[in-house]
Amino acid sequence: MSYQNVKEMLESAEFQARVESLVQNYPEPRTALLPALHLCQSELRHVPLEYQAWIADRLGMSPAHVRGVVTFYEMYTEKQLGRHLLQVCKTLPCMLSGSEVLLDHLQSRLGLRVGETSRDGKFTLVTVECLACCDGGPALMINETLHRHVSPADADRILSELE
Amino acid sequence: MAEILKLLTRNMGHANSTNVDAYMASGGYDPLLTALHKMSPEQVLNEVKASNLKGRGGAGFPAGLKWSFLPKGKEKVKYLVCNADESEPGTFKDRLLIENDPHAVLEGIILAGFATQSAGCFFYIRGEMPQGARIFQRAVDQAYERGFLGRNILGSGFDFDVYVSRGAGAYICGEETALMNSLEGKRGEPRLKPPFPAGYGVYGQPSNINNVETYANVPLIVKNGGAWYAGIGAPSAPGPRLYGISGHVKKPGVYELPSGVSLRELIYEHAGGILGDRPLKAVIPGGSSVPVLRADQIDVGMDPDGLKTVGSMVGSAGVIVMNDTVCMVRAILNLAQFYAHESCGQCTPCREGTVWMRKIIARIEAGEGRPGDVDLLDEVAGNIMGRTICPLGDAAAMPVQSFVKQFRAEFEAHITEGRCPMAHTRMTVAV
Repeated sequence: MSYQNVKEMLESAEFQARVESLVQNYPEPRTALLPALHLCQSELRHVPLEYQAWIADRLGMSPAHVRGVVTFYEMYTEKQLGRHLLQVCKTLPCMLSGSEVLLDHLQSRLGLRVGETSRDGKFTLVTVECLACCDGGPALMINETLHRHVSPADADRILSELE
Repeated sequence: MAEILKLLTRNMGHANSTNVDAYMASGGYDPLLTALHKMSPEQVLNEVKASNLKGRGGAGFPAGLKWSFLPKGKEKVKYLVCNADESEPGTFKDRLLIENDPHAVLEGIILAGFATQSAGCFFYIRGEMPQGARIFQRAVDQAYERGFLGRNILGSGFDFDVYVSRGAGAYICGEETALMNSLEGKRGEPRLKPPFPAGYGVYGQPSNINNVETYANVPLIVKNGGAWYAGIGAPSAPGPRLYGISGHVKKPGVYELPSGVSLRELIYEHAGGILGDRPLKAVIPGGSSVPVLRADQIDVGMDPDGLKTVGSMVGSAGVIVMNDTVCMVRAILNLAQFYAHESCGQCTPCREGTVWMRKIIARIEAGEGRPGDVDLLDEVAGNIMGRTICPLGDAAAMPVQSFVKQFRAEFEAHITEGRCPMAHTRMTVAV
């Protein structure tokens, strides 16, 4: 994360320029809302209310509209996630390939239940619906990296390599 | 046995297959040049109509006919949308195209833009495919550099832009009008139709939406002609088709085969048969939303007509295979959880019904089912069918009804025995 908090991020000329380029990228500015929310989620690992109000103002929307959007989509969170978001696909093809075993293993290894973040802020463990990787089950996506055919031993190795 | 085709997958496995130079070296963008300099928009449209290309997203609507619903001429700003929100459980073919041959998809989009005289295309890719989004954006950037996109493309006077936009984790955004709302910075809630997208789509402008694989077929059609294409595979829905197969098979993956290939051949020849050489129990042939088949129903062609004979559909051609170790109640519980989670909540039958179905199936699986629960489940599903503004309701109800119909005795056994007869343990397939 390059910004300490939402205030620092919103005051950064560099960040503002990135938002402006998103706004200019589409025929109408409102299409930039989802990309601008992705940007915040990736920088701060959540989308705080201050940011929702700021981007609403920039795009000429109401903060309530923006909050409605933030809470509709799974990938935006109002609560800050851990540095590494562990996403276990739980849908049928992955379940047939052993995703329940992978999830059990991750829960016991990390001492986390689904939806929880470790105290040191390093890991958040969630389950997700089909990742369109059904021939590679069980699939585990960590932040933006997709891992295929992940056995418990593979998961141990992958986790040990994360900072 | 049908031979594996190398049409849609012609560039797979080549070095730098995502690069514009590699794509052009194998004849890529030649169809676009031909179309822009030697054909009229109507001629391109007519070839696509003649090809009888059916949409590959799940509904199977004729692509050329859909394009012709857009108003003619350039008086109105028209948009295309490429639906790259691949999220139907069991479906993973578009990912293959996006990540390995983005220019084939892009060329198909530009050709469709020319045929319909549209102003641009929104490429809406699901949020969980950040790598695919980067690869496709790079392909778009390269196409602008080479003059395949932008103003006056290749000196033809045709202008066309492509905008990449990412979803954010909502299955419902694969529904065309939910996707359009999402593009407009809104919650992904489907719109009531009519008006249809061809009259009122993105930003209220006339819009046409097709799936990734549908667009990827267009350069093949322009290059070889509609008649050539119409002669491949099943006549009622011709062409090469990307079949994804997953679950309990030895070689899961995407196989490009002529439309209409036999389901048995797909499972036992191409995908190597059932994992552990166990008996086959059930197959979902076209993504999680279509009715499930029993093991004795797989001698059918993987096309709309073939699967209709056994009461199912080809959908997105994502085949999920289950062997005899799988409890059918557990399997449909997984899918019922999926639909209950993904219902957008607008329509009461879907919002409430998907949750009731999940609850009833969960208690049956837990051994706490009550007499009459199986009929109740079927009734709840029946009350969702046809009573929602978008197809998600039907997509949630159809698999439930089919599991009950095909495996009713297994549901009843859970209730009479007060437990799961399969003694369900964690599925531990070797990985």
